[in-house]
Amino acid sequence: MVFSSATFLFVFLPVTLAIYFLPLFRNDKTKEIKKKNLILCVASLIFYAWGEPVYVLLMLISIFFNFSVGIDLDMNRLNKGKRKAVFVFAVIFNLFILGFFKYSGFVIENINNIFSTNIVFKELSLPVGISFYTFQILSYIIDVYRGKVSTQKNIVSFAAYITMFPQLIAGPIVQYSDIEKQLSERTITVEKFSAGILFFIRGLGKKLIFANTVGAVYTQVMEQSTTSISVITAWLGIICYTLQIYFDFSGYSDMAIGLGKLFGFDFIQNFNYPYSAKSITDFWRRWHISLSSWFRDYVYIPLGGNRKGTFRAIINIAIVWSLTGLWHGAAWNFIAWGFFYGILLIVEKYVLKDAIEKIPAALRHVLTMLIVVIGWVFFSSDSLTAALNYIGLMFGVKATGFFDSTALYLLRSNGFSIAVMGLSAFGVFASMPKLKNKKANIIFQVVGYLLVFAACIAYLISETYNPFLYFRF
Amino acid sequence: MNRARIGEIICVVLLAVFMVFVCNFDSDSDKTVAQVKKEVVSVMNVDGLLTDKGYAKVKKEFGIIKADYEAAYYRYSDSVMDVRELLIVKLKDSSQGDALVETIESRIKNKQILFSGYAPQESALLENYILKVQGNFLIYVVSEDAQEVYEQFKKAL
Repeated sequence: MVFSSATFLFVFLPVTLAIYFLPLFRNDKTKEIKKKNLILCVASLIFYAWGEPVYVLLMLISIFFNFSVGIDLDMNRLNKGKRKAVFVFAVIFNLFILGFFKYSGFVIENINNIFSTNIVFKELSLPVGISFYTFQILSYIIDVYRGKVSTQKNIVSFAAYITMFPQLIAGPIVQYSDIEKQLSERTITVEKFSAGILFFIRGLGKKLIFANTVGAVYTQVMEQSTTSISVITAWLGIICYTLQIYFDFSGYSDMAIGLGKLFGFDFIQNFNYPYSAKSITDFWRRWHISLSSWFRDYVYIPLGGNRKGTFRAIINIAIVWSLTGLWHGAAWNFIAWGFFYGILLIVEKYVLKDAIEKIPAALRHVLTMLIVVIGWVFFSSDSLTAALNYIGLMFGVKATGFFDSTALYLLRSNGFSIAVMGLSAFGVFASMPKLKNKKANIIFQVVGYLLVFAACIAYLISETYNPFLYFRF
Repeated sequence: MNRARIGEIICVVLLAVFMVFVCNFDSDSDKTVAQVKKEVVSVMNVDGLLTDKGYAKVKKEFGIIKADYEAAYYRYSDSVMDVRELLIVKLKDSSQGDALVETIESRIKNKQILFSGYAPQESALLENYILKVQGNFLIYVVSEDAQEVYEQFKKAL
């Protein structure tokens, strides 16, 4: 089930909220929160089972296993050896599940290619959200082992953390330490609920009005044969993808954060106008913040971060970014994409640091965006070869000239909307001054959001299939 | 042994059972070739492609004899310069897949040699072919929409 579907908006969400807010155990806050966690957990399993009836079993196995591991770690808190063995086994178990379902085909295919073997393998469909919920589970296991958080002894609360439907499929990746307290104590105020609705509508608008529109232009470009494409068309195509992936993914994150608020949770911000970044480092502080934070906290820092000298820090960055690429997909183009950023970040941090600061801010921004746009070619392509071919086209290699009728048509029909989306992604509209009159400001916002919601409904009626790009990770 | 450890062991066993189940679950489909092709064709540009109705073409091109397989569906162009084609085969036994893959691969190689050098557009399509065995189904597609077609094929099974 996707958020941008009529089934979710008009059936699943209202019914879940109605049951969630049933006035039971009003006088017993502990019982009330337990009831809420149970409802959230059951609703989340239904949400997941809607599209993944088989893989919901895998999720349940994972929940029971990791809940048991948490208890086991707690029981062995005085026996360091046993505790370490349980921890290592749990990490291997979780990574094995991820590896089996996500990477086994890729590994065997490469073994077959490299060694000319013919190992037969069955391509399994990827369990939706497995990369996200595995990382959440690992955050729990690692933090319990480190003693940063205490063991969750209520299986319903633990299951609610893993399955929580607002962020189950495509994040943000919520670290257990950020949500531990909220699982046993959270308040839902009118202000929080209202903010949740606004977040949700904003995300829905980003997805349905912006991402889908600009995504259609990108698809149009991709439908052209790669041998009959001009330089400008190639650039236009990837710029549209750049906007599409931002509005699609940040739209999903906004909806997730908004839904979280409706159920009383506060999730971390996942995007902070990444396209307004003035360096690659800055970009990654603003893009998919929850993933970068996860890799920083559970891979980069444990490896030594930058505390063990420059050489070791460079190796650590390379490891983290190769893993970041691999996390996104079992394909060489994703690994190349991760490595591309790893190298850029190393160069930026250790080679060009002083020089970059001397470049005018506007030029820094342009250069950053140029790199980011080129990076998305690796991300959007089916293979590394296709990515390199497309980058070639962007710089005139095998392109059919600099400008063609397709580019002219696309610019005429979509130029204005692309420009508006570009400005929006840059944060121009968000930084516009608010009305001085507080009441007028509220009315203005409410009317604005209602219009966006109405437009979304209109889009939903005409476009029934609205998958998110990040679902495949 | 504590209860948590017993829980972990049970989960490991359940995971092993689940993996075996999923591998088999994913492998065989009850769908007919007609049902699968209907879904697949909906996302592929088949303008100008002919349908092999009597298994004559599919026998000539791939050596597929009707009696040996559950069913097959083949779309092709009669223009020598149009390399687009779509083949969906429902195998009687998944072990038939390997032999058929070999036959198709050798045919693709010959076609690639034929087109390389003078027909770059067709050559690029041939380079990006998709040939996969998914349980008891095989798909072979040469098309601009190959990846999309394959995704739809998986969904259709």
